[in-house]
Amino acid sequence: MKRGKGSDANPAKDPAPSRLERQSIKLRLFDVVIIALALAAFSASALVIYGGPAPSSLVISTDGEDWIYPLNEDRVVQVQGKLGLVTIAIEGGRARFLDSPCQNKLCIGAAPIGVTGDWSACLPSGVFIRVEGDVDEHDEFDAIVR
Amino acid sequence: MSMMNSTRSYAEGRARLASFLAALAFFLSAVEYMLPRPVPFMRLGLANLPILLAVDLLPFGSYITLVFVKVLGMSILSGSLFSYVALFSLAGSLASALVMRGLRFVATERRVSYVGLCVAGALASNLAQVALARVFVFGASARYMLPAFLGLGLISGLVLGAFAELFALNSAWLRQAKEDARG
Repeated sequence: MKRGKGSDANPAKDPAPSRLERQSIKLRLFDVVIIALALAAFSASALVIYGGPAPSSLVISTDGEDWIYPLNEDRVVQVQGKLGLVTIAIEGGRARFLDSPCQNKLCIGAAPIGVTGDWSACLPSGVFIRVEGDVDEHDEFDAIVR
Repeated sequence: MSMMNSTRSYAEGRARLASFLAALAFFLSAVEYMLPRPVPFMRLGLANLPILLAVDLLPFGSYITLVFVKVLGMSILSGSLFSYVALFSLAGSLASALVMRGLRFVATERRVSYVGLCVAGALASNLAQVALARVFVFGASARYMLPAFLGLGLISGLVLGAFAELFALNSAWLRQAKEDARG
C-alpha cells in the first residue's frame, strides 16, 4: 500500500526501489579506517588500564588529593566535594556512592565498582573513585612518569 | 523543482528545516534523559542524530547554531544549564560537530557514510569530555575513564550511525532535502 502511494505522488521522479527491497549498509573507505582506529585506541587503553594486578584498594580523588582504602574491609567514608560531603561505601570488595549533594544523583545510580581499573564519579562534586591493584607498584609507576 | 523556488522561499525552507532539526534535537534530548546510563554522565547521543543529518543539509552558521540549541535544550531538560556540567555537554557537542563537518569536508558520501561520521563524532565528543575532566575536575585520574568512553563511544557511534545510514537509504524526504541543500 505504501508503495502505491509513493509512486502516485511522484510518478516520474521516483523510480526508487520499493520499500520491501532490503537495502544494506555499505561501509566505505573512511568508515573502515575510523572504526579500526577506534578499536585500536579502545584496546590499547583497556589493556593499560584493566591489565593491572588483582583489585586491592579503592582510591578516592577529590580536589587534587587521593585517599586510599583497602577494598577488603567494609566501611563508609565521607569526603568533601565541591558541593558538600559525599558518602562512599565499601562493601564486600566493591565500592559505590551512597550519597551526594549533587542534583541528578547519577553517581548514586551507577553500578558498584570492584575490578581493577573500574571507576565511578560524581561530576558536580568533582569526586572520582577507582579500584586499583597493588598500590605500591602504582606509586612507582607514577614516580617514573613524573 | 528547486529551479522554480525563488531565493526567498529557499531561505524560508532552510529556516524551516533548521527549526525542525532543532525541535527534533529537543525531543530526542527528552527521550535520552529517560534512558539509563552505563556510567555516570555518559550518554547514547540520540540528540546528535539531527546534527548528523544537518552535516549535509545546513550551511555552517546554522549548523553551529543547531549545536548550541541542542546543548541548551539538553541542559534545560537535565537541569544542568547553570552548572559547569553544561560546559561538558557544550565541549563534547562542539567537538563532535566540528569533527563530523570537517570529515565531510575532506570525504564525500562515496568515501564516508553516516557510520564513519557518527563514530568519529562520538569519539570526538567523548575525548573532549575526558580532556575537560582531566584539566578541570578529576586530574590525572581521568585517564581511567578512557577505555569506557572510547568503547562506549564506538558502540553508540556504530548504533546511531547505522540507524542514520539505514534511514538515509530509505528516506525520500532526506534525499529531497539533500538535493535542495545542494541548490
